[in-house]
Amino acid sequence: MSVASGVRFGEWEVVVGLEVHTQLLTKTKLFCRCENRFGASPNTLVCPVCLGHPGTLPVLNGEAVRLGVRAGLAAGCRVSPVSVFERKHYFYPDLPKGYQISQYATPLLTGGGLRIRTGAGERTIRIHRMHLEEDAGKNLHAGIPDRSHVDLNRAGVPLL
Amino acid sequence: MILSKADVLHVARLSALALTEAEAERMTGELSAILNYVEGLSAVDISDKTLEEVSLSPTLLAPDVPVPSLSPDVALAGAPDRSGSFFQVPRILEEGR
Amino acid sequence: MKNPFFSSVADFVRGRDERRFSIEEVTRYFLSRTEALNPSLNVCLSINQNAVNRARQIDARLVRNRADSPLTGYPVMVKDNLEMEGYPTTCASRILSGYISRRTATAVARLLSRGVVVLGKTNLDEFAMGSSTENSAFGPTKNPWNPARVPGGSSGGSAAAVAAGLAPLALGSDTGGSIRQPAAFCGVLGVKPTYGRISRSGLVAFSSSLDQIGPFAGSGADALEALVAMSGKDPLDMTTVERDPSEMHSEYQSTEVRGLRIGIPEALFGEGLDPSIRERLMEVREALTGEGAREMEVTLPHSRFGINVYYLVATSEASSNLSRFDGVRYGFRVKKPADLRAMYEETRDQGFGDEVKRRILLGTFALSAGYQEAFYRKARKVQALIRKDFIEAFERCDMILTPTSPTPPFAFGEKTGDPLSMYLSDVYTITANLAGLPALSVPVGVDSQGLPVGAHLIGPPWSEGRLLKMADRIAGLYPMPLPEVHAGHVAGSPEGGRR
Repeated sequence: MSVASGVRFGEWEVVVGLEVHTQLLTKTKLFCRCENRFGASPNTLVCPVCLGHPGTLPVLNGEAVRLGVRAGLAAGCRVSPVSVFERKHYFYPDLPKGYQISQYATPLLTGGGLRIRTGAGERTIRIHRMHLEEDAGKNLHAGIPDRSHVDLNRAGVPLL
Repeated sequence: MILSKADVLHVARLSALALTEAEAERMTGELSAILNYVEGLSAVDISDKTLEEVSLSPTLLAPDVPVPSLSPDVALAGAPDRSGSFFQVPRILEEGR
Repeated sequence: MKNPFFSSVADFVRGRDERRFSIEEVTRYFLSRTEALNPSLNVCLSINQNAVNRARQIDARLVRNRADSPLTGYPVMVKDNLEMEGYPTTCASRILSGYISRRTATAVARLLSRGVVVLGKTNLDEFAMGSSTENSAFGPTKNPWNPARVPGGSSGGSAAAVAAGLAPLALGSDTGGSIRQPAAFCGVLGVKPTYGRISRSGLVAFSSSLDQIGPFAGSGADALEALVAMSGKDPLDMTTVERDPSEMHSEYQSTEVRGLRIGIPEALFGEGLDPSIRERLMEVREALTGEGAREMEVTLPHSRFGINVYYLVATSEASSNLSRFDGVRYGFRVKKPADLRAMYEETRDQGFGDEVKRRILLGTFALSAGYQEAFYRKARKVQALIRKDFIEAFERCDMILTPTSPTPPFAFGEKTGDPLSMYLSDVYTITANLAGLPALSVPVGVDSQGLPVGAHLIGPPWSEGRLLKMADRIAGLYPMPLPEVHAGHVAGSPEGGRR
């Protein structure tokens, strides 16, 4: 989610954009049916799909789409009738497939805004877009001299 | 289109492939020849606006019902290196993603 | 291709149900033939050590109950890019050394649920990238007709297995011709179904928008049984389509040659086609019109750009699909890399063979910033034009006939030095993948050197039943001679052609 606003500072206007990752409260991950749960012991919420094994295919979680659309309707977004997932590529140990499935050109939701109360009265924070994507896993560095450890429980958790 | 060896090395880096000097040399020639051939596409008129890139069949959505995960021993069974229940890799220096 | 027990699936069913043979006997026969011939042919990468046990279990079940499927007890080999839980899947690549699959591919699982016995897993070009099976990390497969020739590829192992009689049925995958071209080179029938017909869950992805799984068999009727068993919607593959697989049976039954409109793209019978293959194909055309089929000329004006489109779309998708092979979670990793970056780059450099690296580089380039519009996006638009050409052609005809391959099986090493000439082997088959259409190659005798020739049929979406019936009619006009295969000596039969 990215949000923009404007405040005048003498002859300058400050424009602040925020990129917000919100975990969706689904029971399972975005593209496989491993549990979406925090705090489990390492690599206990993983399967061939979220481990990026060969031969596996993503299957989209309908509940994640429903929750995304619901958030979008509450914020007055336009819900796109056609919504496309794309692959964002980089190599990193916490990214099992070598790409993150995200949305780029055609996100699920565009426009809308959030009304907030401030000291200066009510303001509207405009929303540029909201899209669905999968989270990466977790790398741990503490306490090991020349090695890093990887826990993939979080890999594939749905983010809005 | 003629690629330079620097182009090939740049693409190799994006692909996480360490090419030897000899490999990079050979690939530069081979890839240029292939690109020259595929560039025959430039002759095709694609001004037709109906050339949809996206097929509009509705996507099958999965129900949000958990299925048991693998045990960590099975999940890590094929790992080239592990430490307890973690996959282990050479130390990650926080260079940009 | 021949075995002492049965000549077709229908004959197998009779023999099995009349107890002329046991499944164990049949299984042992194929396993021992494989053991004898594999050292010279290099068809199998692994033999299923559990096959005889499974055959015994099926025999025991058949004592109590009748078989519930024609395929119960039928032996099959599986290309080694299809997964079976608990077994290695190598994709003929060093990068998957030591990898054990945790799931079974849906297509294989559906055959297993009908009771097939998997004998082993077959050789291929690494990650299905190639047209000769020379790109295997485990050495090339030999063509059973002539051991100095390639079997075609990438499913060369499966095609050779059926041709040499190591299995009556084998599975392959086809991204640009990887079932049909080796079928033509080995003198067997090979089918690529409509995109969406068969689930690809458990098929190691090469180019996801083009890959399909299909069978090699001795006849259209045999291939039909395997296709029907494997087809149908699968919750694990979002691209599968809700169609009743039995529609293929009914269309097979109802199709007649008389009155069938056969589209002929005359341009594809001209320059670039081996004269001896052209001669065979012209005989086929004449024979079919003699049987009452009608020829119609069709033009597929954008098909000549098929190779261009393919090598951009397929390599782009491959570069993405193969990024998961990084040595972190499974498979090969270099020993003692200097740092993380070195682990990635050296693992992938040493783990992949030349052709795979070439395609990853080409695909990464075609998708890279600044070039994506001119290469990948443009290719997708030309692909749409190729598809449109076919839609228009199928308003006027029921199927299209072309050669399967422009050349007979070539010699080992003949094309490995020139990737582009290897790519041109797929010039007739590639457009069916780009348009998502069903297509098959059926053997139509041998050429002047005694090497097999294939005819290629392409149909509108979901017309597999019609194509298979036509294939059987063509095979009826052209009984194929059999390759004479002996351990340590492999040779083609001298007599051939139309009888």
